[in-house]
Amino acid sequence: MKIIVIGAGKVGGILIEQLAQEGHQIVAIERNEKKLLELQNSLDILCLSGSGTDRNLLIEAGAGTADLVIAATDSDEVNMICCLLARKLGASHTIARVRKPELADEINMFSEDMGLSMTINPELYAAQEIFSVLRFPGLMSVEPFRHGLFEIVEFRLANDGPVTSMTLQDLAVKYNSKALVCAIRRNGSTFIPDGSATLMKGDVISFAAEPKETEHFLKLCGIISRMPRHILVIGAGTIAYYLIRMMHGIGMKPAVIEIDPVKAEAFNQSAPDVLVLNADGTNRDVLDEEGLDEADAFISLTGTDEVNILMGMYAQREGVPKVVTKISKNSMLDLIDSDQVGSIVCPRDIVANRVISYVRAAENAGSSNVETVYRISERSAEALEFIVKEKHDDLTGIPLKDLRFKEGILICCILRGRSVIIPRGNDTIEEGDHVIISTTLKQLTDLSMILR
Amino acid sequence: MKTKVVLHTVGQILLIEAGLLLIPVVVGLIYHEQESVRAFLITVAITAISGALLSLVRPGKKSIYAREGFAITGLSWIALSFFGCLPFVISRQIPGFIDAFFETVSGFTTTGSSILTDIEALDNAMLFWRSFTHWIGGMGILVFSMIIIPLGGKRSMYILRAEAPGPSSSKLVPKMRDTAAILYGIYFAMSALLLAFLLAGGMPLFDGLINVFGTAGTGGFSNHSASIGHYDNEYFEVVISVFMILFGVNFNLYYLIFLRRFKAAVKSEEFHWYLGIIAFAVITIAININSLYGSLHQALRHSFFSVSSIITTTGFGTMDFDQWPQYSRTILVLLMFIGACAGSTGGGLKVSRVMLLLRTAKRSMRRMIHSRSVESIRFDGRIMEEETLNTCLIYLTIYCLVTVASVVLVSLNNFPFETNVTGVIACMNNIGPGLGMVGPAGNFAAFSGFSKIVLAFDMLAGRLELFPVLFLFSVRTWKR
Repeated sequence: MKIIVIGAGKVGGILIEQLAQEGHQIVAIERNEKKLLELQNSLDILCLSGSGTDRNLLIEAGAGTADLVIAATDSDEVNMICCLLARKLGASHTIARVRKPELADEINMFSEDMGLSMTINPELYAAQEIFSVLRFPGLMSVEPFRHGLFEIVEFRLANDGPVTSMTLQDLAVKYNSKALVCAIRRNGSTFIPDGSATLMKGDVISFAAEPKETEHFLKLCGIISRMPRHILVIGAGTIAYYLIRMMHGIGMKPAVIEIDPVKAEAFNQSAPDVLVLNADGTNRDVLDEEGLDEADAFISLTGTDEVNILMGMYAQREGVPKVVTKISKNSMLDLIDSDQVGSIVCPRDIVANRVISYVRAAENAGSSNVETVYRISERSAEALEFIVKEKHDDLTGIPLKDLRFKEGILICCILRGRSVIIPRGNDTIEEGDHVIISTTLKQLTDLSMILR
Repeated sequence: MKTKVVLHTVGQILLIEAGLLLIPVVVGLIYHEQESVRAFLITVAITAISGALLSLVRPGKKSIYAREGFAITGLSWIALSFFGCLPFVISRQIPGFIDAFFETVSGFTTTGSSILTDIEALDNAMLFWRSFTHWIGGMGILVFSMIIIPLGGKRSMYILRAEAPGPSSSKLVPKMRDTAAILYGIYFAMSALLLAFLLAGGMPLFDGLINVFGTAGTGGFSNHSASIGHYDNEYFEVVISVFMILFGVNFNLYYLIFLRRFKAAVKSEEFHWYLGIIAFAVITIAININSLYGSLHQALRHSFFSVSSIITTTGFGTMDFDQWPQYSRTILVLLMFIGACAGSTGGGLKVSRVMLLLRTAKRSMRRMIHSRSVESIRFDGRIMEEETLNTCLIYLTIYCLVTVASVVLVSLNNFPFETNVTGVIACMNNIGPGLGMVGPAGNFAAFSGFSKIVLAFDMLAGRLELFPVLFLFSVRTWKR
């Protein structure tokens, strides 16, 4: 696809990189010459210097024939104008990054007028991910499919137990577990397990299950859910704001610590029911006073990755059951371990996931369509949801045991209507099904690609 | 320096050259030239084996950067010339290795300077390969290779920048491979068009191909000693002149035309200057040489051809302009310096660079009076970064240094000053003929082996715009 990305900042930059890797033709528009030069040198893309609101520049970039224009500058308003312009010039789809709560809430009202196909809100997504992770304190991530009908959950197996003593097949039979382990990351490499694999302590496990089965499987692995009540949040930014809104009314008691008095004041005004403290959240005494030892969860959302990492490590060491650390720079991800800092939330990664899903879904005109894509196991594997749009001679109506799949593919489940089918040999894939697979293969765009 | 990546890439280029060497084999077979066919086949074998061996060097996952980009470009071109001269040596048609190397470098760099005293004595297959190197070198062997194999991967910009001429290079479309394919597409189409025109005028096919290669690559090798003057055909001269000028235009403009963005294409400042300089030179030289040719028509005919040939750095000749009045000779030498447009197959400093240098000079002079003034330099409406302008100045400086050093070294041969200076200029700017002993009626045969090596170096330095060749000599490039 021909994609124009306006703004090569934190979000724009990662989108350009990942979309270029997926093989699309990318034109990057950015005002900062140095950033642009760096991009031109390191990626096979076209770089243009200037502002995305410049009509002539957009024409030069080929907006008229672009399949997708993504506006990811610092300013929501500029993003919306860029998309409007692009649409008028003839772009097929547009995506704007809109982060301010005031705008994000109203966006649905006028997104059609503005010609926006989709908006991306990294802060909102980050808050959603943190919230879903808080549900089960032992987890690294929870990715929902089909509005929560089915989910893929990722966690680290900390201890030996019943799960490490037998094969997955035996586990399913003995404990009547309906969860399917769809990827295991062990010693730096990821593989898709079959029934004969055995889990080991230290594995990062991704499994697929209906939400009601999730708890059961997690219990088997020694992870017990307990919704956190006393929650400490450091940094009163936009993510904190969205997060606090979600916590409202379900019994969670968050306390937000913010070092900047102006920000603290503003936060209090926008979220009056929440305890806001104007203090230095990196100061141990402050944390001690505000009850770190009794906290159920600690979420570090300051603007600095390094601070978040250090605070995460500290809280983890002090024994807080659930620690969440926000990282904005990808480069940090390789250095740290979730053992040390709890769950890692990277807003840019989440946004990249969403956009890649959207792009994959948009570009495929085959007999099946990619609906959702998640990168799991530290981006070394993918969980994809395909919609089977029409019958396919080699795929539909044939029992799974008769199909020959490529290496590194696992069908996690088949969603038919509202029912969830954990696939067995005699099950078939039919037209209209949503099929969720996990795979270490990259860039699958059609379900038929899983066949040999 | 990631030596493995560099060696591996050079190996790939050699494999491609081996493939290209098969084409003259076909020519040799058509003309029943046994010796030449044998020589080419042996060369194919040697080149292919060398290329295969080098390709075995595993590059690993290493990415290339500016350093590797320059090294790959410099080494590839030297290797290309080294293996490319073997057919001449093996078949004994150019027995001296240095001579053959000089001729081949002259071919690939689209210079057109020759050490041959009797061009017509060579086999057709040899003449074909000699001119074909122009066609390959004109648009660039690395650019050509990028269509076939992913050179440099994501970081292919480093290679494009090192090989493509001009103060700044940019892609036409996001993917490097597509950009390369489009450039070669335009190049091929224009070459075919020229061939059609020439054949329509009655030129034999073989001559047609030779002249197309020489024109498209703005090289200048001919299969006749008298160059284009051999035909004494005004139609051929006009067609070739027009196409020489066309090949000296920035190919980006042709792409814009292809996209139907005519206004943007026509608005190019560099293009206006280019045409303006040509017009001025043609008219003033025609007036200057009027007395020699009797009619203004003839004077314009020869002036037009010579000016087009020199400014585009092709080097074809119809008349011995060495015999012309001093004003004409001087203007022609000046045109040698200016060269054609950036992003074309021409050589020289390039019109855009000259424009930028002049504008920078004007600005500096204005600043001496108004020291507080803030002024940015524009080109085609775009503001030029100071970095680019600085690089232009540096380029000019190093260019002069290399020219001066070369003239000094060549002077050891004890030939007249005019010969030495224009000889070096003709090579550095990839023109072909200079003045004096190396004028249109002369050649480079009399130079010593040492001088020929210096001049070959100049040709490479000029075509690759100095840095890829110069960096090869720097210890820092090779250190870790």
